[in-house]
Amino acid sequence: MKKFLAVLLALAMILAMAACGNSNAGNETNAPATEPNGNGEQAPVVTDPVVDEYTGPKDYRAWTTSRATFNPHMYTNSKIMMNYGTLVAAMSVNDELAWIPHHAAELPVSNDGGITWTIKMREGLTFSTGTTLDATDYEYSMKMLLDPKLVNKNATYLFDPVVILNAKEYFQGTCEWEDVGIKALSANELQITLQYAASEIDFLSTICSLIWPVEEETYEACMNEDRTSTTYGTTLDTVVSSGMFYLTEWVTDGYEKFVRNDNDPLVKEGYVFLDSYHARYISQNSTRAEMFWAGELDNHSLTGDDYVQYKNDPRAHSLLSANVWGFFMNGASSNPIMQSQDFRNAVHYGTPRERICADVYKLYPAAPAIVSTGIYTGDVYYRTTERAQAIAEKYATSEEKALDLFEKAYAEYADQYPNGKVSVEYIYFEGQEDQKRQAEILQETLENLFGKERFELTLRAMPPASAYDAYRAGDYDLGLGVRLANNFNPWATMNVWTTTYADPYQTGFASEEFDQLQYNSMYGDIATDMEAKIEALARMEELLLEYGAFCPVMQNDNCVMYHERIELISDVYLPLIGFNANQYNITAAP
Amino acid sequence: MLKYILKRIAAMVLTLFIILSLSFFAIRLIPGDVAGENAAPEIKAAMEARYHLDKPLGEQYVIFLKNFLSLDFGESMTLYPRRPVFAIIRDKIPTTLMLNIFSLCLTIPVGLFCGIAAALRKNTIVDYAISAMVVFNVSVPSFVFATLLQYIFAYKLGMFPFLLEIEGGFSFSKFWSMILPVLALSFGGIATITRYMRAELFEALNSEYMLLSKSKGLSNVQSTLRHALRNSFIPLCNVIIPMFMNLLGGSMVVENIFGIPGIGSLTSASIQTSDYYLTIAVLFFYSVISLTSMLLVDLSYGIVDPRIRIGGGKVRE
Repeated sequence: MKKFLAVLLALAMILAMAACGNSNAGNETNAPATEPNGNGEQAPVVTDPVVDEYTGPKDYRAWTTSRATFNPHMYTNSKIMMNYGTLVAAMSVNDELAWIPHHAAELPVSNDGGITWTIKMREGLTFSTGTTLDATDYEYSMKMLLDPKLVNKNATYLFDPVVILNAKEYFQGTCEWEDVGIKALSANELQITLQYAASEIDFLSTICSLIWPVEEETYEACMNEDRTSTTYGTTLDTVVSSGMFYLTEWVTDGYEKFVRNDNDPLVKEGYVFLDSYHARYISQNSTRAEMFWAGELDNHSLTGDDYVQYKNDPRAHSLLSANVWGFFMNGASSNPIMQSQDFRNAVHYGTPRERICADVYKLYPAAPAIVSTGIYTGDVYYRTTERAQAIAEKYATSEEKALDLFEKAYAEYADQYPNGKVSVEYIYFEGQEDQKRQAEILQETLENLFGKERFELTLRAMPPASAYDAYRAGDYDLGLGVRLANNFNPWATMNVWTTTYADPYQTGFASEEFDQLQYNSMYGDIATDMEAKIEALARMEELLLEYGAFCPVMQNDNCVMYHERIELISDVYLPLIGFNANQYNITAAP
Repeated sequence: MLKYILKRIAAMVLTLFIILSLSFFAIRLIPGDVAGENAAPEIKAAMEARYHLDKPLGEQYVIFLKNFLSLDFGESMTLYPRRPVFAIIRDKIPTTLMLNIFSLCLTIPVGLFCGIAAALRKNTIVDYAISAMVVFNVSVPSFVFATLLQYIFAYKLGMFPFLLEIEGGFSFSKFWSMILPVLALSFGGIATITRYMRAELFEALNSEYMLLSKSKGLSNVQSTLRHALRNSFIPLCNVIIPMFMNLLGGSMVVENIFGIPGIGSLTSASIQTSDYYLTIAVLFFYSVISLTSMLLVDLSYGIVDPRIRIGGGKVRE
């Protein structure tokens, strides 16, 4: 027995030493460029600049969690589809976002104030099959995208936010294709007619950047008999590439590999440096982290404590989110105090967003306003404008303001509650530990601030889908959630707060002024006047905050750490493209 | 015997029908949205109409059954949009099957060996060590094993790759990359077989027929091999045959950790994304496996043990 115990002990020691010892995974060049200092923090280590230009293979080793489809009409998230080209490509040039004609020969032109756009196509474009790609392919792609029988999820790209003439009507089966404002005038010329005038940036960031061409022959071959479904883009042999890279390997839920397309116009113009881009599908964060630190992946998303440890590392780069998370506040709730604007404002000012971000989310910054810092308005980030900064300052967390407002609301509504104790319910998403902790901090802070004898916040966990159903039905007081935003067109996403929106969450917010501003910014007289639109956006944001329809808490930014052999085209995070994977460069062997 | 098999198959079909119907209604009760939470209202309406979700539940059920009986299992709605669900399951089986076969090749011999060794050396250090291993393997979840194996042998020691190699055909490097996931998949099975084998063999070794066999002049080895081992295998059918059937099933956790594109995570992923058709198809697939393995277990008793006769006619007075 003693011998056995001794053997067991020896084995345990060997395993413990292996686990705690220095890793020999990866070679010298892969060692992280940070070393712990005396305080246990990571101090940047200065690495020698690359003197000789690297001439070896430039294969970027990435990860992603999944890939549902390569059908550009049905993709379900914003995963990179670098094998598809667009009319115009968003690229990073001199640290700024630049719109570079890709399949188009030059940037689209409108001679009637943004209603009719003419796009001249490049000559000599081909799909990966060798088939010619021209304006007729774009018309066919958009026709299929809107096909009423196919019901493609991304059909909305053609009528929201920029509205192509009769596109929605065709999608709903109420008009013919000939009536739709999409026409290939010739093989080299495409004409798009809009229902409402659009600014150049709106047109470039939607129709020109989100419509990927499909190859007609393959698309038709994948179509079922009654033309209600196509398997285009669901397996490797049904994917036809047309971009800066070609998809050459794809195993569903396994991996994907793109190889540079040397015939692509932008590749020829020198925008692309990688030879290939190889992504494994890895859903486990711990696996990704270990692979990154072992030098087997070229990037890794930092979370929680990792972020705290490495946020100042030169390899770490923050990504701005377009979305602000918070909670909806139902001013139409049957709970009397929720109907008080003072109370809702008190909750806004009293919400400890800074503490929630520091203690729970760590890498998300606190957000006192509804529009994110990642929203780009024309050529400037909206939150950097004076008007937007004033709003953020006015609605910053303030316990004094919160208490004052609560006193007013309490004086008015306390008699409607037994023993004068106001009770409000907060819904958060079930099974998400961070959100539970956020709810508990909110509960503790508000109850302490308003007084436990006068106020209680009850917490309720619900599956996200049920929670959103409750918001739709108006059956809630406060409820965690988000309304997704568009990087370039925040006015479009403000439509969810208008009285005419078809699928609203009930908050009791209804403002004619808001409706008018939203309409004017999108389709009215200021649609192409960016300065007026920024002012309108600020006013809309102010109206929402004044009413207390949504209490912003944090912006779900991300932080990515790149391997030191990766050279980004720019350290400036740009909307839509971020650091632009199409323009990564590699300066050393793995 | 034939009559019995036919009866069981009929019962299986009925059970499958019930499972299918229950799955259909249960899944509809789960809140969710095929178009996604932030989809435009026009898209939501069109998607619901496409999948008949705008119709009353009874009518949806009739349409679903009609399609199912004509072997139209439908297409994935959200997880792999527009891909036939049958194709999704079919494509994922080979990887899962390959890993599970290797896992079984390790699990069964090692489990049997450990079980036999523990029974033959009962109350010795060998038995204690094996019992400790069994308790450890049973009580530690597979995701802990998988994470630890990956951390120690891939990250710290760099002996194995982090992920299963998917590229190309079968090769030594692919085999090498399978070792960690196979180990993670095998620990639980080894413990189960060991535990059963030890208990059954120990009971057989102490039975009266063993005493008789020894008194007839058989050596200890002869009587153990010819009588004790054979008899102790009978209850093991209950464990080993379902293991063979589960070759087609996957482990969500192990697949996630080692980047295996197998079938294990399909059920939860399809439920989470409100992919109704895919969820029902996966549940149906698992039900078929489970019911078939139960039938095979029952039939195997009659084959392994001649004393057991199923549907063998009337009992003679």
